[in-house]
Amino acid sequence: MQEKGQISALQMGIMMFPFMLAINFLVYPTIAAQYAGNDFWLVGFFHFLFGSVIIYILTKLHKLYPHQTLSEYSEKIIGKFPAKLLMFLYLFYFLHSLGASIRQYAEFVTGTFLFRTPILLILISIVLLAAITVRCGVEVIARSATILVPLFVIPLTMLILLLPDLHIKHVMPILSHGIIPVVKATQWWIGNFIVIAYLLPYLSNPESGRKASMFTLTAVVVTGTYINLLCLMLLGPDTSVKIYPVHVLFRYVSFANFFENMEALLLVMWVVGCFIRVAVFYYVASVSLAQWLNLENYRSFVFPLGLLIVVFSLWDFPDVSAMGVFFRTAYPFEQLLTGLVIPLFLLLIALLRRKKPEQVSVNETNH
Amino acid sequence: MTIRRTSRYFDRHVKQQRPSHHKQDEQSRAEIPHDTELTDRLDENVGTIGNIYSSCSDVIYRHFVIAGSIRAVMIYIEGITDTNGIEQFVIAPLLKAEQSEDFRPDQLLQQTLSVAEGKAVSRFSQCIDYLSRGYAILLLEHEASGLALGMAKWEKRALEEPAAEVGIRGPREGFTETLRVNTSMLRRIIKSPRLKLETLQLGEYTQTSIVLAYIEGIAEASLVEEVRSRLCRIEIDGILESGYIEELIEDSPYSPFPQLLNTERPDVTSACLLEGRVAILVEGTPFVLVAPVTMFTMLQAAEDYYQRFWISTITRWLRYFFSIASLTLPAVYVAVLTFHQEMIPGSLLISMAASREAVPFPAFIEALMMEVSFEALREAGVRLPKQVGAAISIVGALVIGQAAVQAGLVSAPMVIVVAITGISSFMIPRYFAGTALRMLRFPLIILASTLGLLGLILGIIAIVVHMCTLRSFGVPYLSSSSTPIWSEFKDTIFRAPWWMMDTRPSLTGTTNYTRQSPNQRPEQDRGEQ
Repeated sequence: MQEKGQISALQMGIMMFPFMLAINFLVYPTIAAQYAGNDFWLVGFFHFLFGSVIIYILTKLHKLYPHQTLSEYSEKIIGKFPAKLLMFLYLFYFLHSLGASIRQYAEFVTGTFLFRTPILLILISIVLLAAITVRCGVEVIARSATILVPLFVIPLTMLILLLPDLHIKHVMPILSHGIIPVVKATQWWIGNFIVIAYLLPYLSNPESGRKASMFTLTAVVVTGTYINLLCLMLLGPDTSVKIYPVHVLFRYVSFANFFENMEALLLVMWVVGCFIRVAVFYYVASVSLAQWLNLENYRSFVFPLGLLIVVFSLWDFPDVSAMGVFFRTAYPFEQLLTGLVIPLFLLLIALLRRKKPEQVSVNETNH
Repeated sequence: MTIRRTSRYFDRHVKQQRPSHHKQDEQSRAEIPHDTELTDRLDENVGTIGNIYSSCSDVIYRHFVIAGSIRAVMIYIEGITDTNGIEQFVIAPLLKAEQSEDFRPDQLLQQTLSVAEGKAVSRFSQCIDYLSRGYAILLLEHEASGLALGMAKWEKRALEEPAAEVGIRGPREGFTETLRVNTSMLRRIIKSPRLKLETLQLGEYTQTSIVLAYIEGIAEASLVEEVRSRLCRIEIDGILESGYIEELIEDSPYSPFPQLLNTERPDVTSACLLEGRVAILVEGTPFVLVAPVTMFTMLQAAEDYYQRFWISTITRWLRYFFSIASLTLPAVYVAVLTFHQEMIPGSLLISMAASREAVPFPAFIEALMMEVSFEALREAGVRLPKQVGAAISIVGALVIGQAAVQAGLVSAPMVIVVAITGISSFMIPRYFAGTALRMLRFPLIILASTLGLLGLILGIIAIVVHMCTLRSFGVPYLSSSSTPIWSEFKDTIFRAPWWMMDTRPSLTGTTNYTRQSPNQRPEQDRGEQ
C-alpha cells in the first residue's frame, strides 16, 4: 500500500464528478457538434452505457483483487514482465493526459482572461499547487475536492438564467442522420474513469464503490447533457464553430440587469475543476510510477514528476489547432484502449485464471 | 476512528524521570539538600530551609515554645498563607496546651490543631513543595517529621463577565486566574463524579498547576491519553499562560489557524466536555484550552445554543458568509477592479470609476494601504490605555474614513470594502480564528493583484488544501464538511433544536454516542395522553 489514508465511497464519488467534467464540459460540445450536428446532446446515452461497462469491469477487478491497484493486480493477472510493459503504457498515458489537461487549462486562461501572461506561469502554478496537495495524500485530495465542489456546481446552475433565450427548435429534427454520427461524437472521454482503479483500494467502504461510481457517472451524464442542450438550444448549429461554447453561454447571460457577463464564474469553476482533475490524475500517476518501480512511497516522486508534466504539456502540442486535431482524431482511440479494451482483457484473463488455475500459462501466452 | 495514536510517546512516569533541561540547574540543585530527610534537630532543619530560601524576604519563621518546654517553628510564606488563621488555629492552641498532652505531630493534628487539611512531611523537598503552595510548615524539636498545614489564602479577582466573549443571553461569569476557582466552577456545572480533574505540575521554575479535565465515559480514553502524553512531554522554564501549552501541544505548529479552542466561559467548556472533548485549565490565566476542535467550533458562539434554533441557524449562515467575506472581499475587489471590470454592472461601474478618478494609486496599493492601517488601528485599539481610547477612535475614523477620501488618497468604495472586511472578521466568535483569516487576506490581495481572479482562486484552493491537512488531536480540522456525514450537519451548517440533537459529534463522542433520549419533541397534546 502506498499510503495509510482512507476515503469514503461518497468522497470518491464527489471527487470524481469535477474530475470527469472539468476539461471536457468546455471543449467537447464543439467536437461533438462537428460530428453529430444537432443530435450531439444524445451522446450522454452512450457515455452512460460505456461508463457503466467500465465501472463494472473495474469494480469487478477490484473485487477479485481487493486492496490492490491496477498496477499491482495486472502483475498477478498477466505476469510480471508483461505487466511492467503494460503499466509503462499506462504511466505514459497518465502523464500525457495530465499534460493535455493542464495545456487545455492554460490555453483557455491565456486565451480568454489573461492574454499577456506567459503560459508557463499558468502551467507551473497549477502543477505546483497540485503537487503540494498530492504529497499530502489521497485523504487531503478527497477532502479539499469535497469542499471545492460547490464552487464547481454553483456556476453551472447559474446558466438556468439563460432559459428565456433558449430555442427548442434547434433540437429538431432528432436523429435525422441515424445513430452513427452520435456514436462518432461520443468521444470516449468517459474512459478517464480508469483512475478509480487506483482509488478503490483506499476506500473505507469498498462495497459501496460501485454505487458511488455509478452515482457519479449519472451525475456526469446528466450535467453533460444539460450543458450540451444549453449549447444546442442557444447556439444551434453555431456550436461546432465556437472554440469554447460554454464560455459563450456564460457571456450571454443577462438577467434582471444585474446578472451579466458571468464569465468570471466560469473561470472560478474552470480553475477549481481543473485543480481537482489535475490533482487526482497527478496522484494516480505518482502512485503508478512508484508501483512500477516497486517503491514503498510515492511522495518523493511528486515534484520531479511535476516537472515532467509541465514538459509533457509543452511537448504534446505545438499549438491550439494541433490540440484540436488530436482530440478529434487520436484521443477517442487512446481512451478506448486504456479505458475499456485493456481492463476488459485483464478481467477476462483474471476470470479464466480463477476458473482454471492449471491453465495459467496458456492464458498468459494468449494475451 | 481517526484519533491518531502516538502512545509510544506516552509514559506515565515521564514526569518524574525526565532530565532537567539545564545542566547548570542540576548542579545548583545538588547543593541544596533537596531530598534529604528531616533530622530530629530543630535548629539544623530550620537552618537547612533557611539556606534554601536564602535572600527570600517573604519567608517568615515564627519561633515559639509549646507548653513551656518544646521549641517549635512555624514557617510560611507571607501573602499566600492565611496569617490570621495561623495565629488563631495553630499558634494559639499550641501555646495554651497543657504539659501532659502528646506533642507528636500526628497526635497534634488529631487533638490540638483545628485545621482542615494537614499532612505529615518528612523530607525537605516536601516542605518546599508545600511552602510554595501556601501551606504553613510546623517543625518541632526532637521530631524528624513536621506538619504541613493547609492555610493557603491569597488575593483573588472577583468573578466577572468574560471580556473577550460577550453574549446577550447566557451565564455572565467567566473563569478567573485562580485554578481552584475555575475547577470549582466546572464542578458546579457538572456534578457527576465522572468529571475527572487530573492535576500536573509543569514548568521548571514556575511549577504551574495544570488541570486536565474530561468526563470519563464520554471522552475517548485514547484522546485523554494522547493529551496527557503531549502535556507530559513539555519541558520548559515556566508557563505563564495557556498559550505556551497551546503552542507546545498542537498538531501543526506552523499553521496560522488555532487548533485548540481557548475560552473564558465555563458554560462553553462544560458543553465541550459533554461532547467528549478535553479541557486544559492552567493556573494563572482565565483562558482554558479545549481539544480537539474543528473550524466549525471556532464559528460557534455559546449563545447559539441558548436562543431559538431558527435564529441561531440564520446567524450561523450569516457568520459563515461573512467569515468568507473577511478572507476574500478585498482580494475580490482588487481582482475585479484590476482585471475583470466587465463583471461589474454598467451603472455601478460608472459610479465606481468616478470615485476612483482622483485616486493616484492602483487598486492594489490602495487596498494594501487601507488594510494595513486598519490592522494598525485595531492593534492600537487593543493596546492603548483606556483614557486615550476616544482620541484613537476619533483620529482613526477621521483619517481612515472621511479625510482620506476627501484628500483623494483612497476611493470611497475601498473604504466601504475595508470596513465590511474589518467588521465581518469580528463576527467570528473566537477572536484568534478571526485574526488568522484576517492575516491570510494579505497574500490573497497580492495574488489577486498579480493574477486576477485566477490568482485569487489558486490562493483559496491553497488555503482549503492547507486546512484539509490540519488535524486537531487526530480530528480533521474541516471534518464535517470535508467528509460529508449527514448527522454532523445538525450542529455545523444548522443548529438543530435540542430535541433533535440526540447524538454527540461523531468525531469526538463515539464512546458514548447517545446524548439524550430521542422523541423529545414537545407536542401540545402530549400532556393529555
